[in-house]
Amino acid sequence: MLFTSFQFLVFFCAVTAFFFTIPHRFRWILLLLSSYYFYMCWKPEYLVLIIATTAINYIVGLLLEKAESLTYRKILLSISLITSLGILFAFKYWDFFSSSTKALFQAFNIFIDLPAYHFLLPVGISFYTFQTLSYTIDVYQRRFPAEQHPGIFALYVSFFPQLVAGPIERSWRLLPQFRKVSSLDYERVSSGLRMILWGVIKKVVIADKVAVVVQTVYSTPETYSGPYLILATIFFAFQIYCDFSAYSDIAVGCARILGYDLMINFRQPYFSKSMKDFWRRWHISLSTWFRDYLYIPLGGNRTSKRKMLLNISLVFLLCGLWHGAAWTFVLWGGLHATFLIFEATFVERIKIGLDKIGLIKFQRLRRCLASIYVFIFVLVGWVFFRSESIDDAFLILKGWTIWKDLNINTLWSLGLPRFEMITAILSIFALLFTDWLTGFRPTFFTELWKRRFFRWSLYLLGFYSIVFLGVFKQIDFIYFQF
Amino acid sequence: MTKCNTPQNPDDSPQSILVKHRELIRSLVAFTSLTALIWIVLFAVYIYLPGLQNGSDQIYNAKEKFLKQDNIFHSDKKIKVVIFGDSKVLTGFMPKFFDELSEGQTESFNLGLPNSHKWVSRLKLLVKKGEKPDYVLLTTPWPETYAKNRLFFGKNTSIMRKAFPFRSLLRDVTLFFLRSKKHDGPINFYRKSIEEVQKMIQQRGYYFIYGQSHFPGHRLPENFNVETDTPNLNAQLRDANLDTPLFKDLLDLSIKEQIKLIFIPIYFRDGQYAPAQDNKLFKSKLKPYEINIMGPEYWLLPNKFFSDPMHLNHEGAQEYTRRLWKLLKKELARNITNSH
Repeated sequence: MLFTSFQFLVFFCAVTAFFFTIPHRFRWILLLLSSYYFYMCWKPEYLVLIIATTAINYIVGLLLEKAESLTYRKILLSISLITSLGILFAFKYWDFFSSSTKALFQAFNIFIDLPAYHFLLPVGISFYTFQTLSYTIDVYQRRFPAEQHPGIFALYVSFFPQLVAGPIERSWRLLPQFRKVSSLDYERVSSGLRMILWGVIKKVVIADKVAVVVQTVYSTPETYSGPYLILATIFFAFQIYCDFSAYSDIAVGCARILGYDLMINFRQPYFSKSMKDFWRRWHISLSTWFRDYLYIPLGGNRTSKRKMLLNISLVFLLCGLWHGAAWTFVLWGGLHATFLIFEATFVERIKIGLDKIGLIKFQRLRRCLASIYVFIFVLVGWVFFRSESIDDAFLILKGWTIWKDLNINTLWSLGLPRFEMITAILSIFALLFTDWLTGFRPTFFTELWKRRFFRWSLYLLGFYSIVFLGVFKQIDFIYFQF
Repeated sequence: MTKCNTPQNPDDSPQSILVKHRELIRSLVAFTSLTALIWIVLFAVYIYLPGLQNGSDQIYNAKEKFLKQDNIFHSDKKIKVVIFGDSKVLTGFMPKFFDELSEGQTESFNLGLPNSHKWVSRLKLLVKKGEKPDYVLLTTPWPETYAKNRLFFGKNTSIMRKAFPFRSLLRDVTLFFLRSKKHDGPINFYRKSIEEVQKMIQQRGYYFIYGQSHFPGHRLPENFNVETDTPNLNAQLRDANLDTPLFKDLLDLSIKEQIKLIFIPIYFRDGQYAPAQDNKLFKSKLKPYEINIMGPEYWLLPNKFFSDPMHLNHEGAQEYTRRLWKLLKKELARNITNSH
């Protein structure tokens, strides 16, 4: 059941109607059953995994709360980590591990036989696994008390707006909200609907449209020259941004209507001024998760420079692996680690250099150039993220430099007719402009937003842009595969 | 779990709920009303100004309407031939020219429709109307399954199409006004669009897609190519699943009504693919069912016959139709002999 389907619209309207009709004490039951039904629309059997993860971590949480002995607490934490990560490993990484190990041994002419199970990846497993792990770790570190109510805890694990593609919530943020009484509130409903509208626009008007071009080019990259490979990569940059941030927006909007606040997952990432800034703006719930539960416990940046750089490398390699069981994702993570290390090592020298050529005075120009440099680095990373294989990724990067025999006719043969291609490009500019206004001129936007005529015009424009420009074929959200 | 501490409102009547959420309800009603008003205006434009629609949609709607409401065949003495396919067939097969080549022995109709491969239902409609063809020419196989008609939980695309039939209006109107500059203004262009559709019916279903023709004289340059051309590789061979209810229905229909199904070559640009291979597998699959495959999988035609990378111009359509006649004349001649 995709967020942008009519099925979900009916489902959400029904859930909302019942939610505000029934007494508060029964609402957790409604939300839990709805969340389980929502998940079962993908593959009913995999509900067992969520229930198992929920049960194990609920029990571990309760025992951790009562346990005094450090050794015992460590054992309990280990049980949680091993079982949750074990399930994740079995369903998501086993085949990758098995094929990579076989390939490694084959390089030394040793032939081993490891089975491959080809499990269908349970939707959202990476998200809810990390969410439950954050809970257990927080309870272990006594940052948050264990949840006593099994139903509320189960709801925390499986809350349908953020179950399959985040944002990855923290226990101290989300759990207390399930106890607060919420009533139908005009401001919350209107801001929730606004977020949903914007999310749907990003998904069906931009992401699913440019996806056609990306698929056409990336499926046979050897047939395209530099400009088309670059165009497809730029389109992918916006496809993944719009696709993923759309899901987050719709999730946040739905939760807001119901009276819950989920964290914002994206903050105008393509206007970042450095790679470090990029990771404060992109998939914020994941980057903060890695920061709080891996990077800081390893020492973070309060350690020697060498150790810090090693920590960055480890975190981003694992971040890449989190995204998918393939070496392309690991390389993507490794590239980001490299970019961050490059920045950490050379940023001061770069600033000195800019100062020498007088560029330091021109704040806006510096900002603009910084955003462009970050975008280019991120674009290189996206090549690996999207490519079917490492060979394809290098082929594409090499292809970026091939500009001879440019054939303009090909632009109209990339899967989109002229009108759709032009509107896709214009939509991307509109998105960038909106992001820029939201991020850098928020007061301008807020003032304009107070005017009803402006607000309503935008709502109608948004609605009918979906009607006229939206793609309604079933195209899954990209992050469902994680 | 902590107990609910909601203050009990003694007055939970529907009226008080309405008062409490007055602003929300008012906003929702106002938004819905405005949306509905815009919907009505757009729907009216869509219905009363069909000439604004893009050529494909106009052709599609006009052909569907003609098929349902009018007779496509007028003589019982001639061999009835129908061709199904997509826009390549729509712009490739000239029924009147084909009938001229047969010296009036055939009466053919082009039921090629843009973006449409669901022709079995149209064949059934023809039979139901008493207009069963003798020969059905096919370039692509039957669809895999019947389309499901689930009202509300059906595909998003079909729901959107039903709820907003004017979905392509923005695109159509934009292109209409851009193209109208080359056609002496919007009014003349509108008139011409309507005439083109009527001409299509007069041409027995053949249509030239002006909207996608951007080259002078409606001819691709001799050296035209696109990066996706694979002159050393064949196009994908045709194949179909014979183990579906839809195929069984089609087979029953063709046997019962004595309709001959024949697969014919489609066409591509010279250089788009390598010359066609023989599709032995598909041929042997269809042989027990007496469904013929005549000619190669496809023909490669020179660029001069194309108005755009996909579709033929008039000259190209004549060439394609001529080739089809040459391919089919012996088979059709047998039918003429038998019927006499």
